[in-house]
Amino acid sequence: MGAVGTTKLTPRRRPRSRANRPDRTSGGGPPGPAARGRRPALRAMPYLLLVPSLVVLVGLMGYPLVRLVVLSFQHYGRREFLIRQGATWTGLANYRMLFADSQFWSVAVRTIVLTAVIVALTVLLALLVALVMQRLDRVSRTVVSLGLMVSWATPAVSSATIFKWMLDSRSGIIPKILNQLHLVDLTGDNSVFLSGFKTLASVTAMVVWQSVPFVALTLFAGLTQISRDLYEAARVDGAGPWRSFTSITMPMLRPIFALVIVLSVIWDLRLFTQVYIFNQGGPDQQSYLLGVYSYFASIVGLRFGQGAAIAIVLIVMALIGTAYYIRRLVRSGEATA
Amino acid sequence: MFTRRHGLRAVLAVAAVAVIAAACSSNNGSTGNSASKKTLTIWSMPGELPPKMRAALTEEFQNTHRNVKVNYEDQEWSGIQAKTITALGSNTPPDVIEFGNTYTASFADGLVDLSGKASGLGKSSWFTGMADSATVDGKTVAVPYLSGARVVLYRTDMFTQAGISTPPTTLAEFTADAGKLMAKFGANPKFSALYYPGQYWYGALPFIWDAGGDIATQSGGKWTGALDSPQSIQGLTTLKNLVASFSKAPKDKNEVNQFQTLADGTAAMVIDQAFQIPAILKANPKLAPTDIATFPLPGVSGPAPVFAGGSNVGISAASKNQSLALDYVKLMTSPKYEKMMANEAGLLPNTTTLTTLGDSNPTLAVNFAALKNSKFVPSAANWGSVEGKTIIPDMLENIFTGKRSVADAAKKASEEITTELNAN
Repeated sequence: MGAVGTTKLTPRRRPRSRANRPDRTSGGGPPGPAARGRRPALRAMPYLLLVPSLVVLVGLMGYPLVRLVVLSFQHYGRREFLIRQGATWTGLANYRMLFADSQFWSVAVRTIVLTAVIVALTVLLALLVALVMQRLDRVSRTVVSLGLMVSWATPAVSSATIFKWMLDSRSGIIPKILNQLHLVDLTGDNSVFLSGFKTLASVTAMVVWQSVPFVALTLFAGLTQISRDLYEAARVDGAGPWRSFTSITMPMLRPIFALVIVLSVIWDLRLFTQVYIFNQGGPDQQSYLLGVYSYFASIVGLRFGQGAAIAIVLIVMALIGTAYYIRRLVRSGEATA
Repeated sequence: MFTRRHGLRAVLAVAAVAVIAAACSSNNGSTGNSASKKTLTIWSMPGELPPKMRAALTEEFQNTHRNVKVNYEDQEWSGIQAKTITALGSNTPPDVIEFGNTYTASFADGLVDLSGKASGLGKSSWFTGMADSATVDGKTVAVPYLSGARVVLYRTDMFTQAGISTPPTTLAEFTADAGKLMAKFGANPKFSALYYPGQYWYGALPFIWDAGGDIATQSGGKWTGALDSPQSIQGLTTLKNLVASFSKAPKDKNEVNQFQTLADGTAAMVIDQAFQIPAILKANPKLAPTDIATFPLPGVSGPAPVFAGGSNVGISAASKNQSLALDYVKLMTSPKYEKMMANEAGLLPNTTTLTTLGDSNPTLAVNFAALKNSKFVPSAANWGSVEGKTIIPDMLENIFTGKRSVADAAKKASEEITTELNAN
């Protein structure tokens, strides 16, 4: 797959001169197959191909983002929405209110801790899966990959609903099995859904289960890129399996680790679907994460300005959390180019 | 390479979907000011405009409004508050909305003030609890449409077997009878004399109200949570004791499927709406229709006040067809169609003039009796977020599981309600 080298594909040179470009492809639309084979047209191709996705990106992501920022500085609620006027500029009031709210801080800390736990578990398990896959024969590897794909492809809403059924305190299969084994009692008043900790633990399991496949397959792809010769040379020099792992595998995989960690942090910080479907942030708001908190402020509480401020905080947190890795990622891209 | 191409294809697909979606919505959006044919769009909640009544109503309306197309859009309960607010704030709202009456205050700013027309809409004969639910700050912003008072549904055959000849009329009798039922059927570890799921907050209100408590009180424009008043705490304690002695229902569930327990005989009583009876009989064909009956939930002395849950009908302030919408609402909430709705859906009509319907239908009669002694949740604009944040179900869970004392749980909930109702 060559995931490491993808940055190479980005054209670094600007098209040399505008005069060189024929007006054949004008009209704005994506160039048809007719444009093929003409060199200047070919050079303009990447940019033209980017236009539709850029337009969509700006429309679908840029505009809402700008709107979100503006909203977070406004008093905009149910009433302003219904009478369709009166959104007032309130400066930092939404943020001040947020930072004065003790619930915000506990939710923020919970979000960060849970994200750290989920990302760590995901990457660790995924690494193990990738290493196992490396040692499997072709057939078993295909079977494992398919299994991974299936859990990866399950929509979050469906998997959360299914987990909810499986953990039901009355009829769920998991409490039944655990009861038979005399391990943990999750029936009756010991229901998962009556405990904040158990709810968050279940959400963690659910999210890890669903995130491992992508990370495992990516790491496995990385593993296949490491030359056999390196291991051979190390063995000749007397390195054991552990030494080979720490001195060859890990350093070679570092850029991929950076990539999957960045993606996982972004995905897991904004966790919403699983938490909401599973127990609506309950019991007693004990499984509120920032995404859920923002939803309750804006969609349930109908205080859109407040909800927007929470969302902005979330974005800033994601940026801070990933800045270091993103920088490294970009650097490593430059190095290989 | 492979991922890139897929990425582009995905983007194009998304763009295509967006374009199609936009095209569709602009089709729906034109609520027919074009030329002659006008379209009146009606939003309604599931099952509340039953098919036969809807057909007859539409036909009669179109007889007098020949150029109007009536377009029904059935809504779902989940997420309805935000969806309705979004719609009411748009340029092309539905003209008429039928909605859960606890949202009235929340939607009021987007609805036409009907105060001046209320007498023509039959306001003088509306049930008091229902009229209250349609009134915000002294203004009539909607027309009450239906109500479903909660009563006790019970298994007459099990009552007879336990030696209970007449249904209880006081809380003391109720408790004694529940004890008899437990003694008779308690050998089954799953049996509940009263099946009461932990998140069932509508069922808790009668106990609070009967003891003289309330959810919140308003003075000088400010709301104060009242679940922690001594009266409310007393009511909640009564309920806690009933649940501890007589209910095996899970504490992390709501009441949605509780009627099932009457059908399979794992419960002798549930607090629910009478329209569930056909569902119970259908779930267990061995039951005779006389095996299920109803009585009003007893209070300390006489029936406890019940929650007048139901729905109201309003007209969008941004509707371009307001006079048409008013004609439609007037017809829809007229005694003729209220009666059809009551007969077909088993829910209560808005007018006291139809109480005679109870003469031939004992279940409706019990419901009417209950409705006379009904109360309503605080008509505060932010009430929807108290519901949405499940503050009262959370409190009940904490009480029933013993995670918090009644006083402690009630205090926490009360403070949250105060914050939520006064939030701006």
